[in-house]
Amino acid sequence: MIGSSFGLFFNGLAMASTPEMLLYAFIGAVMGTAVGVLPGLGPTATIALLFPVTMNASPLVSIVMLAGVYYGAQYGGSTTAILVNVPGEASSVVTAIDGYMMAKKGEAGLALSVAAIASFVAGVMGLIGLVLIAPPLAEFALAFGPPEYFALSVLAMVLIVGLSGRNIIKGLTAGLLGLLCALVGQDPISGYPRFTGGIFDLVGGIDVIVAAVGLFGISEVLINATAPGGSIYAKISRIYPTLAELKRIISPTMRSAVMGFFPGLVPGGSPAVASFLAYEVEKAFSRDKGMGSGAMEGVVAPEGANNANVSAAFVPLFTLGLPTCPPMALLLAVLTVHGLRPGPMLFQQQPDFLWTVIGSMFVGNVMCLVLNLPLIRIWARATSIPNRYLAPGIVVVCMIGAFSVRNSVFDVWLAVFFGVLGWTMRSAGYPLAPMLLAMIVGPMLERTFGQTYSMLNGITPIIHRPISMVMLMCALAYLAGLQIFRWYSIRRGAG
Amino acid sequence: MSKNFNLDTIFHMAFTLFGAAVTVVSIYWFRIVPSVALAASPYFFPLIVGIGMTAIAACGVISSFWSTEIFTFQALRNKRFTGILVSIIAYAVAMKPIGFLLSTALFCAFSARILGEKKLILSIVFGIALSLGFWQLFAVNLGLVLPRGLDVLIWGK
Repeated sequence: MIGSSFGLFFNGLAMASTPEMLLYAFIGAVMGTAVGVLPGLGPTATIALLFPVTMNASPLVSIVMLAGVYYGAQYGGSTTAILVNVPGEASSVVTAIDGYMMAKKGEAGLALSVAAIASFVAGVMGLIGLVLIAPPLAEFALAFGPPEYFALSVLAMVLIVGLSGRNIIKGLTAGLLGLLCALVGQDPISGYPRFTGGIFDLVGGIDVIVAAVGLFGISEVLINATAPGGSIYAKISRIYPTLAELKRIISPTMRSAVMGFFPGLVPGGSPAVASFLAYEVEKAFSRDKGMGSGAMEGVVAPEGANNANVSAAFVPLFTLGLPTCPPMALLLAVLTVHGLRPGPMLFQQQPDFLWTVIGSMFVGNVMCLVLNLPLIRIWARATSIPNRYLAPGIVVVCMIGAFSVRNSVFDVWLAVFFGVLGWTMRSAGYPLAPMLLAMIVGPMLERTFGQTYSMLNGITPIIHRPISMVMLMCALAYLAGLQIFRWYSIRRGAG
Repeated sequence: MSKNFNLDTIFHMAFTLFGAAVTVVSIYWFRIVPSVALAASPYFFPLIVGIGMTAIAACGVISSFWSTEIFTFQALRNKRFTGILVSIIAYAVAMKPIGFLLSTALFCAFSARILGEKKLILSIVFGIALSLGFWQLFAVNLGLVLPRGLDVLIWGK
């Protein structure tokens, strides 16, 4: 089994090494690194913005490029975190702690290079995990029926809500709002139009890409409009680590790969969560290394973890058709637009496609390493683009992205609406990730709910099916645990 | 009982009302639209989501009285923020009647000025360059359809 998986992987690697695939993996890696470097434009918005570009391309080329954007962003996100203490990505927030301290000590180049090396090694380890875990999980998922998928969707929603913010009520509200947005348009079973308000353009529903462009792209521009302009370009001296320094980061890199991979398998275990976990674990392992005051381990742990996490996030997407974070939700949307339905059958029906994508991820990681090590100085200069030029460009690409989904100006207006909604929700402390994920999981949740209800003549018999029962129990236990933890924290704080 | 009645409470109240509205609309249409079975009704699932939303947001209203989080919308008083917000809305509205090229050039020039570009000429050059650049990339190179509006006067049909 393992041997055949690796055989298929090497086959995929060969297919991913054609000039066309290499070109698109390169474009994705460059774009991803660029958006990672630039604070204010994350991989979610970029994948949404690049959606029109993929319309005329094959699904394979599209997914290779967009996956490149996602892991490229994890590589690039450390640059501003280390140089100017402004994380390019949420997953690089922890990197800024030790990275910026290293930069202040004159070790910015070294911090950037160990971040890139750790990202590469952990990313490749994550890919090995993906190769090993995905096929057996897909085989197991073949036994899933509508009740299991319904329970899985509920569990996914609960996990995302729990991990996306401190306030569970706000997370649940955002998730339910996303579900309501997903309900607009034709009912998936009867085809009856709902909640359209007589607007013909809403009969087709609210496209996830349009919502993502608004929620993550336009709202970010609005938030940054009030941020102080200008940026600092830090000087970079020595880049490459010595042999002794390389030896020092081996163990933290291995630990970060493990700490990043497993959270990536569950919904809500985003790169940001993984990097935080890995940093905390590394603090326990490297007590004498001065973590928090400019230690290499403090850069390696979060950067390795967020890359391993990206590889792991493809496991539930490919095997269960379940997105665990907003970029994965968009990749699922792109695959669906191209007529592919991720899930257990994809491994049987489209093995070449899947293994080429996985192979291209390895190639993409090599490209990211090559792009990030010698070109560190160039990426650092990108941080000096003033917001007055960057923001209008982002808005224009958002508008093109929204318009291109259905060639409709109505979608442009919708994107602006979601932009303002996103800004308002973020300003009021509501997380956006549950909303977007609910929008993508919503149709599956409704369809499987209807099927389960008809199949079992009600929803309560779902607990007689072991897999769905375990999933629902996990969801309940998780919610209860979170609430108890919150009460305990409040009581301890008050005491 | 009440410690804080702030924006947080108002937001939760708004979501409660929204959830209640969805519930009422779902009940209304649930009774009108015929379906072969309960679960097959197009308004059965929305009804459940609406009830869930109302209940959760109502819990939020109650919990917000004890919340120590204070949210303010200071950005609304910031000229840059309101300027960029108005220009984005105007851009979206203008895109269809005046076309992609003109609306993009105007939006970019205007928003660059709002966000701090002091030289008017530089803003205009930036707007035109970005507009033409994006047109070349997306419409010409990638073959995407973009709103034409008055652009037909420049490029012809």
